Amino acid sequence: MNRTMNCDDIQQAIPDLMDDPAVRDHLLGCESCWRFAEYHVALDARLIRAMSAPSISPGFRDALRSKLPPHTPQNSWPDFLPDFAHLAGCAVAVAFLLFLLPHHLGAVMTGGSCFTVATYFFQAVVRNAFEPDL
Amino acid sequence: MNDDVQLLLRKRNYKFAFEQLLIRYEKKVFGMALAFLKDVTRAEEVTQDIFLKLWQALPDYDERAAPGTWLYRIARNTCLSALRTEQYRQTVPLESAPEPATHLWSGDLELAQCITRLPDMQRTVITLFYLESKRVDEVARMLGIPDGTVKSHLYRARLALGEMMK
Repeated sequence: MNRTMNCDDIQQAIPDLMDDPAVRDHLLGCESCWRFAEYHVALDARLIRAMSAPSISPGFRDALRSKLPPHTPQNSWPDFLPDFAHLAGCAVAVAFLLFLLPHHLGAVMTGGSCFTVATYFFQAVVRNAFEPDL
Repeated sequence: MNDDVQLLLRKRNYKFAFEQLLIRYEKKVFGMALAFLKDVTRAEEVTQDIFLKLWQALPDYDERAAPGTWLYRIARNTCLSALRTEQYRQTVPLESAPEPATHLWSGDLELAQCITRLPDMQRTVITLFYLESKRVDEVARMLGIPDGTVKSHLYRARLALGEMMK
């Protein structure tokens, strides 16, 4: 803690940093902060006393367990598979078109790249729509 | 604890992972729901919803956050969504609406009434702070906000309480 704390800093540190030497030193020499600290330490103690921990119904866990649906079998395919399949598919399509249309290389490459990017974003949007909402 | 759960989740042992999380976080999540919703029955229903969502989401856990932090995010979103539904349904005229429940502060009625008059965020922060044995980091994790923001809400809440009780 900084040794040159002003009254605002001290009041923000009270009551949680009362043990800090810089806070204690300041309080000893500043009457208004001392009064502020006295009040807030008492308020803190009052808040601690007043807080009663919540108790949940005894049957809560059993009721919850009875509601748990079985998990559907997990998809064992890796997450990156759709991205990989998409890129591979686009690459094969572009190569095939290059073979069929050897005189339009530029157009096939540009069209293929645009199609790959557009369908990638479309795929991302569709996948996002199916993700569970937590 | 979080490592144990992470290990269980990696092994797809969802049942045990769920039980561990339930035992460890049940009261914390219930306290959180109570701090947001201010009604014991509703808080318990929402706590059930939270754990049901957790159960359904366990196979999708991706280890980007600790399981506890992940559960708090589900809890926070569910509480906020329940709160919005409650506010939408609220058709009772203000003067005939019941006083917000003060179950968590039942040890001191005057203080409880002052706390219910605090702005929502300050009330939630100060309630969770004392519920969580004054742990700023835990409250920050529950609410998904930085420690400094928790401290600043606490400071303002205490100042406001001081003014109200003068």
